[in-house]
Amino acid sequence: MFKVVYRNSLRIVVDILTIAKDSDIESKGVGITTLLRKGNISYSRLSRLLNDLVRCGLIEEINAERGVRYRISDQGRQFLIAYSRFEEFAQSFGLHL
Amino acid sequence: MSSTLFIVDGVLALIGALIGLTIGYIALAGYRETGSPALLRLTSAFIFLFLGFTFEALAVFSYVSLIPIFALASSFFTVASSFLQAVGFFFLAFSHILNVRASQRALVMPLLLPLSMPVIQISAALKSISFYLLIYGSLETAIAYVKTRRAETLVLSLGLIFLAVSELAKWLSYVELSWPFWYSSSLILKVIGLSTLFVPIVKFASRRGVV
Repeated sequence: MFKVVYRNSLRIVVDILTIAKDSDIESKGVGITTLLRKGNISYSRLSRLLNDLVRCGLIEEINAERGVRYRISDQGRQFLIAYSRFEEFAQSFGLHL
Repeated sequence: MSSTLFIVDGVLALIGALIGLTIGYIALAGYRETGSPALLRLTSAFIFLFLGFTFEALAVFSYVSLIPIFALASSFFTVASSFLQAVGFFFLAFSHILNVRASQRALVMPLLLPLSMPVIQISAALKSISFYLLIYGSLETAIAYVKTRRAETLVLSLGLIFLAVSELAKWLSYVELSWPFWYSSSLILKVIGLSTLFVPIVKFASRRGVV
């Protein structure tokens, strides 16, 4: 039987940061279309989320020739490392972050 | 014989307090870094358990006159420790309840509520609540193991069962005539249960996160 797994807002943030990290091959950042497609999230929600992530310093906004691109910052990478460690810790207790 | 058992119980309570403080501190650091509500609930659970175990140690040591200055407050410490531990175990079980879907939650809550009926004395009543909360927490952790297949989750689930049975044995030592047997059994089970709580601490300390 197919079971739907809902993501909470923290999980969505982690997914977006991970996509920004993994899809950014030449450190030129990733476009919003890639984030939309791989992140499986609506445009309006992603726009709001990206504004928040840029404001918090987890993602950097780059003004390129063909529009705005997004690159994960050092702070964003640190956040992913911390998330990964504490996710494992919480899972030991059978919990999800 | 009995005073030796009490001193062992007090030392174990201090170890429990130390474990509770360490896990609470790690969970708090995680909450500060990620803002996860699950880690906030885990912090609350283990801070209450830290306070509960500390009060339990104070109760035991004042009862055997190791800390004479607190002798008069021994019964207060006993009730306070049982209360704080029950609150800690509640937060631990509550974290799992929030992970369960609303329809299933409705089935779980009525199971928990009648079990809080008053028993012979306040401390024993609180211990019985802790027992059921621990059983619930261990079952939910076992279910999480079935999903994730992580060895440390299974170890922790078994540890919570040992702690639950330890609470039951201690409860029996309050009402049974052969109390030294039940009290000793409770201490042995507590040692095993507390040992398993070291697993997530050691694993967390040994891991240097790489993404």
